[in-house]
Amino acid sequence: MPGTSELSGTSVQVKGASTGTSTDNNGMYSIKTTSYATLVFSRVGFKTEEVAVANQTEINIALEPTGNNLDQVVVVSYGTQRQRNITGAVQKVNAQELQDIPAAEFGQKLQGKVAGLQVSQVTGRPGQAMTFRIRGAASLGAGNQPLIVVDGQPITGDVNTINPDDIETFSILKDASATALYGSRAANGVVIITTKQAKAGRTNVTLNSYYGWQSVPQRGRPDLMNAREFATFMKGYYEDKIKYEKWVNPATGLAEVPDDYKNPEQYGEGTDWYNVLLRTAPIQNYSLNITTGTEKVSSSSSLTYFDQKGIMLNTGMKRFSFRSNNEYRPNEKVKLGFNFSPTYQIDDNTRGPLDGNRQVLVGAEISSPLIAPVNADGSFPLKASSYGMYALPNYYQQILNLDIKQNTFRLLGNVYADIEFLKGLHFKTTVNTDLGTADYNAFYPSTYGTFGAPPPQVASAAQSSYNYVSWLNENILTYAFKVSDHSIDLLAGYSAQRYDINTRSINGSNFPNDAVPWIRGAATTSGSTDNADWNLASWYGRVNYDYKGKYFITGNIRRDGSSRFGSNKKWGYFPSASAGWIISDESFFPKTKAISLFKIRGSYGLTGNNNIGNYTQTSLLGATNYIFEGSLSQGLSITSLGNPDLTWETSKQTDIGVELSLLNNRVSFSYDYYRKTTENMLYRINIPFASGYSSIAYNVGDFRMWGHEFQVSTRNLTSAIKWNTSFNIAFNDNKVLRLQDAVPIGGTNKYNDYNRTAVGRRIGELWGYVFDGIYMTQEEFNKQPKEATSAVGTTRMKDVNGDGKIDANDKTYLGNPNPKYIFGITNDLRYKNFDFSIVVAGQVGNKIMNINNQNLQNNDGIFNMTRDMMNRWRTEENPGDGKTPRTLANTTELFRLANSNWVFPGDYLTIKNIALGYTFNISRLRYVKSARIYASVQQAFVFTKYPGQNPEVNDTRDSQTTAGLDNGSYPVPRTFMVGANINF
Amino acid sequence: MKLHQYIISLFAGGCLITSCKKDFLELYPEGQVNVENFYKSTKDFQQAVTGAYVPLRDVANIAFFMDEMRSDNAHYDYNEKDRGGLGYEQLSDFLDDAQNGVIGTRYQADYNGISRVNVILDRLATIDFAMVDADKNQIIGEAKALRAHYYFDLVRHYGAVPLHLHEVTSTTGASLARTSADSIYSQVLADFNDALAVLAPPAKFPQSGHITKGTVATELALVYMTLKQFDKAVPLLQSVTQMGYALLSDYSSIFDPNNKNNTESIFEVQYKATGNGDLQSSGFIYRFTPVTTNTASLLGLTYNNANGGWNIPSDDILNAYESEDKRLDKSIALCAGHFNSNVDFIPDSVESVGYTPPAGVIVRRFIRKYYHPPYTILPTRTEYNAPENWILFRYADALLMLAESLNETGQGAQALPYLNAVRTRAGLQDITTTDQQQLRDIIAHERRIELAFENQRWPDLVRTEKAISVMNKYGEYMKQKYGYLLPAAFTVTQNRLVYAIPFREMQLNNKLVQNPGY
Repeated sequence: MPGTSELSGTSVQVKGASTGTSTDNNGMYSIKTTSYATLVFSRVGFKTEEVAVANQTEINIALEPTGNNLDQVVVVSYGTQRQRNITGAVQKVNAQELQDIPAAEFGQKLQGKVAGLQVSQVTGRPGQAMTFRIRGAASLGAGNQPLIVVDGQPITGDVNTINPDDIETFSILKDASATALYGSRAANGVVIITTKQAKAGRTNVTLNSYYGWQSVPQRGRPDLMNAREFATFMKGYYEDKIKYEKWVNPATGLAEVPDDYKNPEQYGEGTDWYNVLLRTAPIQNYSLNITTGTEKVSSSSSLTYFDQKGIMLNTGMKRFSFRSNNEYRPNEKVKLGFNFSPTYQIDDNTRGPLDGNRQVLVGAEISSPLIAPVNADGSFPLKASSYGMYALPNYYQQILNLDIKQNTFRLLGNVYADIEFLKGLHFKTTVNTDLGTADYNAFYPSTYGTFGAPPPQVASAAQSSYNYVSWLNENILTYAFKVSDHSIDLLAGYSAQRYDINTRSINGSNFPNDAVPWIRGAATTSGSTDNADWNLASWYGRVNYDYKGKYFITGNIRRDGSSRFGSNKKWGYFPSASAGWIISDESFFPKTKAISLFKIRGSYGLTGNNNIGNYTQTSLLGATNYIFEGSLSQGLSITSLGNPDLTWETSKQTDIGVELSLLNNRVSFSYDYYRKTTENMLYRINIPFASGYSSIAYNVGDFRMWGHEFQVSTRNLTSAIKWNTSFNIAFNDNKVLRLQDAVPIGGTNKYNDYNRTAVGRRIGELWGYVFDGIYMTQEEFNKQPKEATSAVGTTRMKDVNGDGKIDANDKTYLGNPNPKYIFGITNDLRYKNFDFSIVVAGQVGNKIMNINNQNLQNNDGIFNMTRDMMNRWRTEENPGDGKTPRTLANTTELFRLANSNWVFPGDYLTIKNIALGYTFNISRLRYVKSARIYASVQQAFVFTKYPGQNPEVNDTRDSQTTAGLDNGSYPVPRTFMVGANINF
Repeated sequence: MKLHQYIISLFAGGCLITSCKKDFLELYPEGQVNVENFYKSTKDFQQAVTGAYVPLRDVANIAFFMDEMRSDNAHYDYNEKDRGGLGYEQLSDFLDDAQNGVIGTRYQADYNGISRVNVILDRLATIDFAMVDADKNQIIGEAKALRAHYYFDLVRHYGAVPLHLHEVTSTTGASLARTSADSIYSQVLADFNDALAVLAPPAKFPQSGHITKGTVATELALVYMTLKQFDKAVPLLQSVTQMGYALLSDYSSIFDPNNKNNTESIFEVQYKATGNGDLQSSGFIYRFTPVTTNTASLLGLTYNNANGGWNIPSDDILNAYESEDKRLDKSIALCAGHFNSNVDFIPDSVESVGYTPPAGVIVRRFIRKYYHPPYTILPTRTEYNAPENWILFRYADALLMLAESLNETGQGAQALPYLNAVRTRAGLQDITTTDQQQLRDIIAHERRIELAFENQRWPDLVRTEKAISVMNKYGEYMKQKYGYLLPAAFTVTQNRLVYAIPFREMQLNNKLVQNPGY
């Protein structure tokens, strides 16, 4: 493995005793025992060997790699199992393999690694980018993210502050049987993270660090007009206005083109506003990890500093994390543990109004290229609009003046005791806590401007903060025993979890000047405080049975109660069962090196989801105050309709899998088929306003997801050059089976409503008009169906319902935002001291709607636009490219409503990471055990049909009913880095 | 044994912290009142009634688009730079469709009010504590009057609508089909008559802002007049003349925010500007004055007003005033200003109608009724912080309604004193003719002038069946004058006398059938 010496770290134990040690750098070990003892040699990734001492004083062995990790121990829900015994769909990933991927968030490391785990980098904002979906998981309103469990503690808050360097392994649990013990929150799968634990017998100090440069590639940047092109367009725009609309310049009363545009040849390229906001930014990480262990105590501590500056100016994120995992074993029967991890994160303007509709990035794109971001004398122009344009501030000035800071502190900790009463009978109790607090302060000086409201403004400020405490107590009894060839382990447990958060916000306005950025300086202030909480209580049990290590059966049951549901509906039962059979161990199966393992397994189970608002079961009243007698009179009215019948969303999932190990363990292959039906989906459905309310939380429908996953790992070359490949591909599909009263969700508003979910179709399909060209001639216009604002030369949308006119009833489905398949390929090679790896990830079959086109293709002469808008219809003799309408007043809105022009394929193949490393031969230096240096490129090349910057974009992050939208998001950079891993 | 003690204490500890408490899973939000704890005292019901008034504001804030800008009294300043107001323009140009935001807002606001009243009345019927009769009657009276008011607003603007008379608690009962306009009117009449029986006339002036017997009598009379039952309107309006209302001598002072709920006012939608973020203020003046980046000379404070230029007095209304009418100058004003280098309009001064601008000075018209500078509290992101109330009914309106009803029932001579009282205040000569047709036109004209920009013009045109002819003629003039109007604008047909049922409602409730033509 890169970064450690090959020979150190093998565990040497005396069988049946607690005596043990590990090998050193040279593979040497020394252990004291009796002559009739047996030594057990074990190492992750290799076959365990047992050798009787039998009076020998020196025992040398060579361990064989298992290649397919079957003997590996995998962390599963509430325990561990050997890979070969697992009957559910579980995938393990060692973080060691991922260490060359620079990441602010651990999700970035997992891209393309696990079949069926779709990790998307939806934006380039440092620290906020990643979303996860396991098996195309979707829920209408109850969240798509899998449950993240860190060292046994389900995480309730933000997962993005977890330090990736602390992580040792990931286990991805995909089917119902594997996730069953997490019942209620596991409907979308579970990602179990185990942080670095100490190993007995050694002290190890590791330093990992890297430094990188991020920059935004040219591909995917919006193709906007330059200064000369824009002035030419605007000259034509005003000429047409004079010709068709009798326009005169209101200041002079004359019918002539305004001065700014009279002479386009005077302009050159002008300002490339998009580029002006970007820079090459550094990213760096320094992580020190110390582990030490004896027979009685093991301790692993790490300290990390991470600093990522954003590729948009004046943005960045820093994080300090510390973790300490400690275990004390006073005797063979008792283990006491104490893990503790504080993190402190500073977000500098990364929580500001940077991307999204008409925020800084998009605002800059539509600014006038005729205006320079900085005047010749060094001052900033306050506006970036030329004649007749919508009032826009100077976004270069805006981004440099941003003053929005958030500091987040988080503490994850747990304490546990594991006591073995009798042989095989353990009782473990843990208390976990997750504490967090964040403080957000924003100051908007008099030079702050927004879309339509350039400076000067009256200065204002906003503050908000929260603090939460979440604790979880789990009590588990396990009993493992063996009766001849039957092995049984039983588990029973009870846990309770609580989450409580206080939130505060204050707004201050009317500052006299910009000198004081704190609300103390404001003349007018207002504020609010609030509290929210939820509780969860659960009972669970599991039986694992195996016969002769060939036949496996597992049964799970869990009973959960949630405070979020009404009094009769709080509890849900979530049982599951799975079975496995290692056919290759059967006597009838030919013993051949070609197939060393052939295992089939299947599972069926129920999991639940309760990710809906905290108090949806009761109707709540809100303040509705009025004025009587000239002063405030308190009023209260029901403002949100509760649903006492609201209950658990339940998923029934079937999984069938095959695992194969071929060609002397050089090829390992697994295939899974899954089928998941979710019933009683939780959603806030819209109800007619005539009822007096706009929505109600409801168990609203049924939904099915199914798919196939393939994972193949091969050791292609194993001698002087070692070459391993790992490939995974997953096919996912979904269908909406039932919705309340068959009423579709979404697609009812004229603006900002781009998806519709309807029975018999897929969730969140893109919705809008079908663009059908331009009315090129008056004759065409007279004969064809029209919209209320149509004229010759304007947009023609398709008359989908055939009623002879074009209106909102002609909107239809435009594409599926869910990919048909996702894949990942990793290749790594080693030759002597060099190592090289390349990670590729991609997806095919989804569509993305670029809703930023409503701004970039706005031809009212108020914004800058994309270059293709120049080819617009102007007269019947000059009809343009037949795809771009004319600029006639009051006819232009239709082109700016969601339509098929905005829909593009989102297929991509991205070379996520290329890394080349060199490990030094060190025997001379006393303190340095090993050292490796490497260089890598992250997000090296993006091959895609999508014209936008980031084909993984998804502006609404976790909402499946409004997926697949790009509204001008923070660009994702390419990063070059160099780094070192040193062991002391 | 020590070990077992550890275990027991750990386990016990674990259990204690957790759901060995029975109500571990029963949680209610601490930040909001929940319905289990409300509607349990007289005060609760009174607060609920207060809540039922609030949708009046949501309607008043946008009603002028649909009731005044729709008519020949007002138009808008065409804003080339900001095309975001297209929806509002379409209402004025008769190009609106079912997806228009304003019609959706009004529909939703009316039903919010109705729903709140339904909750009050349903829960009042099942209270288990004692409530004083006087309080109970007051609550029922105001609640029913409000419900009737909201349904009257709906049926006038949308035609047949779903009739909700009980609290909706789940999706069953949330979607109803449309009930015929006649049945809606029957419900309106029933509710108003119930309210009339229990409410009292205003006890004092200035009034509190609550609905009084005078409010109900006036609005009920208007309902009868809309149904052409003028004979039933007459006694109601006559009773209003006995309740202590009087015309103010100065026309402007009726609308003065320092003079709210005065003796001429019968019912106003209440607002207040406090500047402390309590969302009680209005913003009409910001909508009715021209778009400008600096309102200083016009409003007395420096503000970038991007949302103005609406409900601008038309050429037609300007020419409709008689020459000595004092009301002209008090209803309409001119804002004189210039263009800055960015072609933004900057106001410099306010002038009266008839002002001839020197060269280079741009003049924009706006409504003076709601203009009371200086405004002292700056708008924020959430509210405009202006103080003006919106008057729904006032005594002059009642007098003109009485005159009209008397004339329609053949008592033209008795109508004259009421008509002339209004004209005298305006400095005009008395009317002496008693010819029914002539008087009809004169009273209609007087209503137009007296109540200009008070959201009565379009409803009056519809109810007197003049809307189609008047608006088509007006439309010809407008399309002639303004080059940006599309040829399809101002095609006023029978279908256009009501608005569309909002698109969202049609999509979510498959029992609804859309109004013809939309």
